[in-house]
Amino acid sequence: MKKVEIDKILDIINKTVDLYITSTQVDENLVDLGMDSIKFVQLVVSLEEEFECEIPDSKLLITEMDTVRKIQDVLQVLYEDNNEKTID
Amino acid sequence: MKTIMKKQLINENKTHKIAWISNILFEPYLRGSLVDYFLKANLDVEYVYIPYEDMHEENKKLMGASLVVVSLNFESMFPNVTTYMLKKHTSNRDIIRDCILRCRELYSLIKKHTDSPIVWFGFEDYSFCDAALFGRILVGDGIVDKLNLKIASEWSDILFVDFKHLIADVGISETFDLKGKYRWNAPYTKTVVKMMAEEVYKRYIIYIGKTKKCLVLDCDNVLWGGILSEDGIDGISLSNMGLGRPFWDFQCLVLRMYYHGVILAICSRNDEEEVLKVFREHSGMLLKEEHISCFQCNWDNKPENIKKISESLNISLDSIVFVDDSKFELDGVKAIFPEVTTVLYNTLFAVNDLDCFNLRLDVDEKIVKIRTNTYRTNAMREELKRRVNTFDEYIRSLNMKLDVHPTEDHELQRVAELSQRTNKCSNGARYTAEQLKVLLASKTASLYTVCLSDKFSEFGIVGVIGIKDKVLELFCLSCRALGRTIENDMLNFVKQTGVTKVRFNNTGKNAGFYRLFDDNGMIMR
Repeated sequence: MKKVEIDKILDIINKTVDLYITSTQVDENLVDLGMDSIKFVQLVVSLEEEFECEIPDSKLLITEMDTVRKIQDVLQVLYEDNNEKTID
Repeated sequence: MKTIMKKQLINENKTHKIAWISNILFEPYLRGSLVDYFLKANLDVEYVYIPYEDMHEENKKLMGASLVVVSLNFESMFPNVTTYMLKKHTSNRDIIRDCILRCRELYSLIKKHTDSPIVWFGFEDYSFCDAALFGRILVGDGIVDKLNLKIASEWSDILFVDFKHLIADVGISETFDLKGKYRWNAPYTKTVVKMMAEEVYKRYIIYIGKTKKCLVLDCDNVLWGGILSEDGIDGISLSNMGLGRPFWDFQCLVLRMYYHGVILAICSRNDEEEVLKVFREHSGMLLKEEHISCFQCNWDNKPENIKKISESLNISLDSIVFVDDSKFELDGVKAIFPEVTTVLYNTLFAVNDLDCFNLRLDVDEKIVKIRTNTYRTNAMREELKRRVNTFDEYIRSLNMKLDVHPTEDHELQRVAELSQRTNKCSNGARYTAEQLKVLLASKTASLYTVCLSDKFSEFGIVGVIGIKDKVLELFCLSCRALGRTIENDMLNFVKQTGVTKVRFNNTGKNAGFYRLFDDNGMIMR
């Protein structure tokens, strides 16, 4: 899995959800900014493709990933798990 | 004037809103695929998803839709369906009744909010095909097939899609995405979703009448096997068996296209008399002289002949598709007239190569015949034109009879078709038969059909005039009837009704009619 970078996440969100979010808005609710269930599906698939990972089903609810920070946390945990496995 | 034209061009290129109603998801692939396909025809598209379950609350999303798509998933509609399937006969009738009631309710709800066309995807039952357990049985006694038949025949105005046919094209093993299904109820693969988008695009452009108009055919090794000038009429291959079979099959295809409104022309390096002899006398010929609007059989070069066909039929080069078995000939035409679509023929010819035609099923055979006859008799008119001294004399000698009468119900389909097909001689308004019905029902609108005949033939309906609230909303004239100043007679009729203004949309080709309206001071500024 690729390293998690906040700029890349912002880039994917802005492209998929058709927004312009900057790094100062990482705690703002994406639903309030225009995210809906369809865009969420597109976002998850884009994140998975871009970071080469698979987001667990338990995180596939908008409420689990409705801010940039929450998305970063989910990906970061995946990255660390992935790294540990590689080291093992 | 330039600024106004530009503004109107933008209006013509409006965004086409597609409202997609479903009980499953097609993301992340659908939106992008729709945008891509519609862009091919320079159509800007806006996609709105309406969950079937929320239709009652979200029906406002249908407002302003150019197209509504219904795609219901049988398994999601009846989650316990596998139990029913196993019980076999017992509950099928209840499911069918329940399902049809739900579809009727959905149809009425859509119709209440929009007159837009509805593309309706049928159900599929391949997801229950436990072939590994039972073999390839008819699932649930064909309940899904029965439902599809019922829905397809229930409403004449829906554009029904045989979804099982689409899946057959993809292959069942490439159809289902279980990960997507269990994650967010998106059970179909990217390939299926892309094909659904392509199908919606195809049905929409058929509906709005965007299609090539004329098929120009070479003869030797296209309509028959062999070279007529060398092999003679008895030596060419053409029959429903043996070596002549591919050519016979191709003629079947061309004939089907003719009956669905395609104008046929012949462009061949041969003596015309020899070619006509084959058309008249060869027993294998499915295409007859009466199907062909224009013959250009001579030893001149093909680009020149195609130009003559274009001029004689009054059909622009970009509406012409040229089929030949020689890449050399095709390249020659393409080099001089890049706007002509060229298609290479070989005996393994696939109909997919002609997918630039977007044909309607409901074309009236009688009208096709009249139209072809008009084009054919154009040659006689040209001859007359040569014999008389002035244009006025020519017009008088044609003994034209123009009949303008209030449009009758049975003419609505043809009149709508005319508004869809006419690009050049039109104010740019497009109507479907359903929209015309609604317009007429408003009582403030009047619709007039223009029919023409001359001493050579009956043209049938050649024009239409639509007036609403003292504004000319629809004005179009078939290109078959152009060059006889009929547009002036039509305009005089319009003026007599007290109308002084026209609503004009730029189609990219109707600048001539813009000038006509402008000269008459009718353009609304």
